[in-house]
Amino acid sequence: MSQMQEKSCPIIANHIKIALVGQPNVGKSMLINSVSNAHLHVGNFSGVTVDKTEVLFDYKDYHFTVVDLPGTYAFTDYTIEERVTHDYLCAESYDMIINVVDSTNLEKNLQLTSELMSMSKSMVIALNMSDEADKEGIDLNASYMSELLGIPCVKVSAVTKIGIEELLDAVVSVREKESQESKLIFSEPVEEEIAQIVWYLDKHRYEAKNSYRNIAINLLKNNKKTYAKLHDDPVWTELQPILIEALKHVELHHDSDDIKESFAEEYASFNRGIVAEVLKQETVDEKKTLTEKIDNILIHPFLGIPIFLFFMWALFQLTFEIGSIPMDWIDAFFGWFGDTVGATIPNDDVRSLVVDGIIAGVGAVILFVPNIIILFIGIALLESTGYMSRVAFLLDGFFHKFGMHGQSFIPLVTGFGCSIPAYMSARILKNDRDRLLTLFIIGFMSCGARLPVYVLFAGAFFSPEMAGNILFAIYIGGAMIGLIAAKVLKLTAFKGADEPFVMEMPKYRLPSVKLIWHTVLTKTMMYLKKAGTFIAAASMLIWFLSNYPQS
Amino acid sequence: MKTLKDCNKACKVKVIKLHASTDLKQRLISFGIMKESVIEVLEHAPAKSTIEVKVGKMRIALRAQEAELIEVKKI
Repeated sequence: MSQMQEKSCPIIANHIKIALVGQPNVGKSMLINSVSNAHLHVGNFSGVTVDKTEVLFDYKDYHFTVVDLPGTYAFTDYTIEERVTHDYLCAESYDMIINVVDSTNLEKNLQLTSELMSMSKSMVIALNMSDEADKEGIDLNASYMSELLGIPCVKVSAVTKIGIEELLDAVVSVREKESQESKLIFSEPVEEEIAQIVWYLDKHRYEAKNSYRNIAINLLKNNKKTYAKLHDDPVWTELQPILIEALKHVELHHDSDDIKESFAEEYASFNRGIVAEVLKQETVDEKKTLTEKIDNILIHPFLGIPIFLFFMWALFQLTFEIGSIPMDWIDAFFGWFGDTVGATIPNDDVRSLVVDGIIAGVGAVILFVPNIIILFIGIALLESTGYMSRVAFLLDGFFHKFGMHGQSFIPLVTGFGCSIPAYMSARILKNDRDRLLTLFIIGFMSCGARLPVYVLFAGAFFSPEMAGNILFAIYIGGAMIGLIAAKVLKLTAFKGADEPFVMEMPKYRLPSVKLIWHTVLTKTMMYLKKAGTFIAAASMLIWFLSNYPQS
Repeated sequence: MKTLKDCNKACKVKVIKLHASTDLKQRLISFGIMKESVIEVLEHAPAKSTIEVKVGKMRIALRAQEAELIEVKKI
């Protein structure tokens, strides 16, 4: 890809590699879509579970590479998403960070910003959703904020595409200027200790790439890498006692024995100060927001679950009823295609391989595509509107008893329809162990294809009036055994401390058609690619095993 | 000791101390739940297994067992 680019633009070779960082639900993906409207290439390079997206485009005399990192609340490595972002920011090479911030919830978003500021990287802040902030009567002074933080802050709106050019201009000007130290200020006791360490480093003319202030902050924050570097230096012997005293002082000041907690409080008070300076909000009367009104119904203690079950029922009706129409066509097409191709092959064995093996196998994969597309659209809708978090909230109590997560419900119920989309939809579970456990259990949910077999058995072994009940019992029994199996697995193979369940309930939002299309398209292509190769190969193998040896 | 788990709907409290382990504490802090922050209880899931709270402008769901680790006082 990069070679091709160099060919097309041989003269300008100015690359700016940008890491796009922000908390979840701040509209990062939307922003990347509107920034790179004439994008050249959108490629997913997936990690184990979480995808980073890379977008390339040109603006003015620069090649931009924007890496969209998974949303992260804080600069830690608690979840997989956070780990991906954390490792990328620490280890990979990039020129600049664009920190995307939700203007309607500035204080919370700045928590991540202030942590990024102590990384001594060039940074631009995109104050996203400024149109929504205007509507909510939030008056944000971006230029004053830039001045206070020492970082350019640009008001943008990914939805209405306001401020996108200004954002890119800011990136270019930061690139062309010398980078300046960010203006993160701590409370007096911490500043004192920083000054003390800086003074000491200065006295000994310690050689370092980063500024002394940055080193001092990282030392106080117990940053392992900084420690490792200084540990091998002669200055360490004298620095250590200073540091121990400094840490004691800070901990005493915050009345906590956890330095990370102390620093979080430092950041929080810095952020409160910034917000107080730059943000003015018209006093809103205690009117309920739209989200609160919707939530009153959707997560109602009694109504919540029936409403959710209705949504699920509707989704399944759509998936399997509407999905069955194109499925019939596809089935008919592959039947016809097989016959037509088969008629041209004289050799019996070759014809059987091509028709019953390859064409039938590939057909089996394609057959499920309509189902999967509809189901994915449904799931993408549930996710992007913010309803999925409510589902987890409602059902977590029940599923947690069996060692699963509230969101396990969706793959499990999908399993009653068809196992293939069920396995695919388990991707909504963000935690590795939750997902694996759910994947194991899906098999216990009897899929539609098993129904004929069940009917046959029920009819053969039981009286006709009992058959219906037996059928129902098989379904319920399967699900119960599944839940028990989950519990057993949780107690044995997946033993370990429970993953805590602390989750944001995002604002309800109208979904973006473009974004849903993009998600569904990439996921469907992934299904075709992965399942296509495996299922096609497996069906050829089964064809072979069922035909040979011929007696 | 009064914890967030004991709070009823529409109750407003202030955090006194987090009794969580380091990892969970970090998680809570990254959501804005730390000393001195004000929490409003919005809703309980059936059987009170999960609660929804509001911190600043953010709405957060957490399990009762995590809420139990957050010491609060009424304001």
